[in-house]
Amino acid sequence: MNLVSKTLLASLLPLSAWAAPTTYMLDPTHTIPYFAVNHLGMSTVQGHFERTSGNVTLDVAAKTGAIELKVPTATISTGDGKRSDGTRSRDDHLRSADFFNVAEFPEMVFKSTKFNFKGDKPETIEGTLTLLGVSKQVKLAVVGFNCGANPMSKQQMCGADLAGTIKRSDYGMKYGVPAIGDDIKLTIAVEAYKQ
Amino acid sequence: MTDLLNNPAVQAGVVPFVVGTLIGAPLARTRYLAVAVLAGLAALLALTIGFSMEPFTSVKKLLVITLVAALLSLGWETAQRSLSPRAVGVFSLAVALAGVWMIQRVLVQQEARQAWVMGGATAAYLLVLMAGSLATTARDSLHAPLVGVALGWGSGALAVLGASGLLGQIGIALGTACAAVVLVQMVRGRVAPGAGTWGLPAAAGAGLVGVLACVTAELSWQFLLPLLLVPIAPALFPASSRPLWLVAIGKGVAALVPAALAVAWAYLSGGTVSPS
Repeated sequence: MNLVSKTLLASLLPLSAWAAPTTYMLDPTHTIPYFAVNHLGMSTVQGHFERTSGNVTLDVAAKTGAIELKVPTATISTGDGKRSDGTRSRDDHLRSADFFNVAEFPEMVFKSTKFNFKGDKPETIEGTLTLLGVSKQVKLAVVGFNCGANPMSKQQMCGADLAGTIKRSDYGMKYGVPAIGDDIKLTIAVEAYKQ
Repeated sequence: MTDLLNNPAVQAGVVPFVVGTLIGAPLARTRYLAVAVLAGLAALLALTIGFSMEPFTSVKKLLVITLVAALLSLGWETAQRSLSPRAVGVFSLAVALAGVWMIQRVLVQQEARQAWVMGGATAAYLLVLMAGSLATTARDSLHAPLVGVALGWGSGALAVLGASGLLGQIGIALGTACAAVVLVQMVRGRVAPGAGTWGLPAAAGAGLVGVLACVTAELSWQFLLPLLLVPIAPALFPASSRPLWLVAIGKGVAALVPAALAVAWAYLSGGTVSPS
């Protein structure tokens, strides 16, 4: 094999990683769903869920993919958790039947139905979000998609932020609307390692 | 006006009272005062979560059970039957089993032993509360709403302390609608006719609010126990030949004492909540 052929073959090697569907397992410590909601028209309350599990499948050559995220709703955190004087906190309120009703619905799930690519990178993901037992179609923008080796572990990984907006009332979470905003901005930071 | 109607206190207090009074006044001569209680609750729902049954959560089940209890009351009063001990037992058992159905989705997620304890405690609490409420309010159309006021306000306040504003509003709205029913009788100077079954929806609804505040919010079970004394407390104020308005106030205060004790106990145990 001459030098040109070897060079050409070497340049094609990274692309071979995309030639077939590749499964990635979500890194639970770096896959974090964040949300933001307007409070009384005054400011934005921001929060997140502290644990997520799931997996991603990506086939860049075929321009398809799949992602499933499972989020335990009891892990919600808005910076007002346990109080030293024992009084009920905002997070306690959010876990109650007024909002996430974690006792009845301990999990919310996002499951994709379609990946839309722009070039070699996913641009949007369409899927179903199931919250409070209600499933609705949502479309998430894929922001900052990137793949490479983790600089410390050298393990192949991919990551992106998934961004979108939902109306919580569509899922039956109507308490406090409109004083507590109906529109919820979602940003799901996703990092996943190749299996 | 919109800002006013978005105020939780107005939604749960003022509006149900006004609606309960407007509906209750023309019904004060009839056996159908349960309609006024139901109307007060409906007014709260119209201003808050609406009437959609999707998703069919435990709160929606609570509302359905309360509606069915009201319809049962209306049917019973239409039949002009007195409330026999057997009927008290049947109604109480029905509400107790309905309460277990209400929390079914939570029960199936528990380990078997925990589910039995939770379900058993729910059924026992509702059975005792309903039996006490119905037995003591039978044939007394003043006693029934007074018990409803104390149970509604007590359960509602406990739910707020347990970090659920919605359950708090439901309890308070039930209690306030019952207060409207008391008022129309006081103004009329005469007790409404009937078997007193229309205390059923208020007592059932308030009992279910308390249960849900424990199961889905942060209220501890023990704070519900003083509410079991509410149905019998009004008997401490003897009616004799006193004017109706004085009897209503005296019995009302007596009914509120155990409810106030329950709320004070929960509050002093650290169960307060700040606005979200």
